[in-house]
Amino acid sequence: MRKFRKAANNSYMAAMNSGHERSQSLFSQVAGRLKENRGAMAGLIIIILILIASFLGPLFCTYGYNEMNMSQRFMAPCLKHLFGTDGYGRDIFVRILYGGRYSLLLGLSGALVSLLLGIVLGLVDGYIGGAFDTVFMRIMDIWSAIPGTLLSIIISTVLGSGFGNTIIALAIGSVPLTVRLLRGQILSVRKEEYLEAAASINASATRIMFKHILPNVISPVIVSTTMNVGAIITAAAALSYLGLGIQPPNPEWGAMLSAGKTYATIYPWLVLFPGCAIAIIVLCVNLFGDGLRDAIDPKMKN
Amino acid sequence: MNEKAFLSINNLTVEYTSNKKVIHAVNGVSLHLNHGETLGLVGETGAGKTTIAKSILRILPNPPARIKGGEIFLGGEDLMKKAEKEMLDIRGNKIAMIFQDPMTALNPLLTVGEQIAEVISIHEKNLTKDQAEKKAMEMLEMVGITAERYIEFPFQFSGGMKQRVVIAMALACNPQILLADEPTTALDVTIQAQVLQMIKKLQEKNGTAMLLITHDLGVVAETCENVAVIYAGEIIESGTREDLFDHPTHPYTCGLFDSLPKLTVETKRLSPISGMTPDPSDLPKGCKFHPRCKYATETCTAGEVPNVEVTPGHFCQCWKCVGYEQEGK
Amino acid sequence: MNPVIEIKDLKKHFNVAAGKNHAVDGVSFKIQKGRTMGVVGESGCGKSTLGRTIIRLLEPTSGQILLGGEDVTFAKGKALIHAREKMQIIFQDPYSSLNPRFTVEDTIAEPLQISKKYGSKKEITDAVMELFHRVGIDDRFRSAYPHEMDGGRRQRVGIARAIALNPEFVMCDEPVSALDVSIQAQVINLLMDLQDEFGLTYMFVTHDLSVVKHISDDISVMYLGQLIETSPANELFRMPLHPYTKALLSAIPSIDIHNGMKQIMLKGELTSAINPHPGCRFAPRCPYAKEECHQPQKLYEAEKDHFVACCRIKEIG
Repeated sequence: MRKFRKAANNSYMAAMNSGHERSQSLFSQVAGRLKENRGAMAGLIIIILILIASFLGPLFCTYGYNEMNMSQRFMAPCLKHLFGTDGYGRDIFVRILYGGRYSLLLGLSGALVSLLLGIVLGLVDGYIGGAFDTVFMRIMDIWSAIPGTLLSIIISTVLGSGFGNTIIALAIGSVPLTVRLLRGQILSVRKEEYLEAAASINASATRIMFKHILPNVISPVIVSTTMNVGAIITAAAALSYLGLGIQPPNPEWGAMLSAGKTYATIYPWLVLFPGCAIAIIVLCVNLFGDGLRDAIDPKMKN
Repeated sequence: MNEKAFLSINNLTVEYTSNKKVIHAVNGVSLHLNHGETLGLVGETGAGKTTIAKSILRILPNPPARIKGGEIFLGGEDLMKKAEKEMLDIRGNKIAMIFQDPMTALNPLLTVGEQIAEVISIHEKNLTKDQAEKKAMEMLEMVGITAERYIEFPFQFSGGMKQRVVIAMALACNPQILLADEPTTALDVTIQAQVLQMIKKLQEKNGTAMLLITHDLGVVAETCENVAVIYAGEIIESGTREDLFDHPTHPYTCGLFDSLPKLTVETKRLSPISGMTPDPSDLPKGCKFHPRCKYATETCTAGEVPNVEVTPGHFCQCWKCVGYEQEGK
Repeated sequence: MNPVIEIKDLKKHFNVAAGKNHAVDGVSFKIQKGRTMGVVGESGCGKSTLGRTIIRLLEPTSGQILLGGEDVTFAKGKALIHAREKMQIIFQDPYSSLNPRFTVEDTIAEPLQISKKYGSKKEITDAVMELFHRVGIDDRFRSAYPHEMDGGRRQRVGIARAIALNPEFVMCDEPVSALDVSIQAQVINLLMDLQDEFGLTYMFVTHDLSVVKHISDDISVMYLGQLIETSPANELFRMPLHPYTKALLSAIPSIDIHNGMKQIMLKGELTSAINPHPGCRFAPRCPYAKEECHQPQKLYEAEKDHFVACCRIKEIG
């Protein structure tokens, strides 16, 4: 079909987009819009505060996170122990602070590993296409059919506990989603002529994949990865709760929930603080992710 | 106001607001269309042609578009003053529009027959479903598509056929005015010839007036009795076909003709119009064409440009013409 | 002197659900250095596919492509890289042909970076600025993104990218169709100037007959994958021989309101090139078709340098 005259020469388009003294890359446009979203900014700031608090906070606390004091067990929140103490007399406040490291690190690294794995698989699949794509997507279908939590549990059991193994167990479940998102985007970008242009100037396959295709398909993946952080933090907590993943005495919030569940009705602060901590961090991550999606989403499609 | 004209646009001004910027899409346009005649509205992308057509039907997205001023008279009644309910009766019925892209103008989920029948059912409420269907089939035959294809879907038709369906929908209720927005731009040249011939035939049969919007001067030459040239939201020249093609007067019109590669004349180099169409949010003062005009003088940079009647019925909005009427050019 | 491009019986077929799409079916012509071959036809005629096959963006099904006498039809590896540097392409859509994440400078520098023709970054930058100047882009657009520029400027970027490697042959795939009339003329002039300056050889694919007459030395007319007529440009317009060419030329709306050509109306729609019957593919719509038209037609020289693939020319007169 003969291509019809698009508004390629539309001075409206140039009018809408010019008026910037300096050219704006899409990144800086997105950043600009994000700054105006108060929810997203609040979420981001709180996450940064939690980050600082969890890494620097414990240095300034009176008590160590594993400092046991059997005479001060199960103390209710008071001035000496802001969040009370647990069954071993450990200060819960410093444990919550310290535990933030696990949640943040697990959440971020898990999401990052998932992203990287998803990108490599997604790009290769999108680039090769054809019969390979058909088979590969069926594998992805099977992969994503297994419930995420179950998959994490199985892998965690097989690999054992420990930071690295937990990250793998958590990252694995969300890979097919990234692959599927990328593939969808790549299918629509495939017919763009700049890819043909790249081939005509002898660009290698890797160059085309990473310099041409990837930057133009990554946006929805960035959003889903950001949302994934929250999901992974929750999943990490769940793993610890079940006795897998990060184990006591490490003050991971989920492990703290698990440890406190027996006495939760009598000493509610044992589960209240870890529970709220998980809720707050996931909320902030999701607020930021929502804001990011709005900043990237339809206004960019000029 | 032109008493004879059936459709009269007087001093239409339309703006778009976006991102705190104001885009002056249409700036004081006046056009007149008589019964049964074809007026060609020629201009390049962004000149404001589609905005004018959508203003007539009042289907501009509001916001960001806003009709700032002007009147549009249809048979003596001001369309700007009509209630939405009254406009519903006019759209598709008294005034029909053919959009530019046949690929997206049809609903892919409905058969072509259903889409034509829909237009008929909406406006001729006393017809039964079967009667509307029968009429739709007649319309298909009229545009050269066998009636059996009533049950087929748009994807089963080629571009030219789809555009015929769109034309059938537009003419189904025998409108008095047809607004055709680049109806053949997306079509191959041999199909374009067929479609234009068909539109002309149907027009003559039903006495429909047509406002043909296009950038293609060749199409205008073949189909339009009268022509108006639009630049940066203003009509800078208007007149009969002979006036414009034999005696183009405005520097922009002349520039357009000069920049076309011609089949009959051998030229080594084309003479394009220098510069670019102006940013509609930042239009030049005075004559909007003066930054690109080789005849521009100090006078052209400020003030309102007079609309000069160069010969009876042939108008040109240019300072250069201000001597002409006296000379009787 | 070998022609820059010579194709012999070039075929490109696609496997589709319904069978085999004979998009390009046995096309042969030569283009000498510094000349422009215009290729015209309507939707589905295969002109874009032909162009992309010649420059090896698509793999030919059969036939031969000779670049300066050298057979590059099925070249691989280094030979293909080398060949590609000599054959470049300018695309129709000035938006889709530029990577929206690349600045103008990035886009034009890329072929230079890949080919390793220049050593240092500075040499590449200098070469890029030189190209800016050549195609008429202002320096201030150096760090601009495609969405900030209008179609005419974007197309100049595409042209700069195409000539960056000093190719011998440039395939122009409807380079001005998506531009406004007043900008078209600017870009056409630019293409012709560059051709004069660098001795470029063009294949100019378009559906716009007035443009093709202006810019081409020779013209080939295609219909549903078949080459049906080819001759010097003026000759084709002066005396078109094939019934399709006649209809095509008559269908162009003329701005000469006093001397219009009588339009030859074709009946029916374009059929498709999927699993085609042998013989002339225009026959179903041709007002002169007879039984012998369903035999495979051969391109023969009817007049000097004027080739046509129709067996009924003499009778039609």
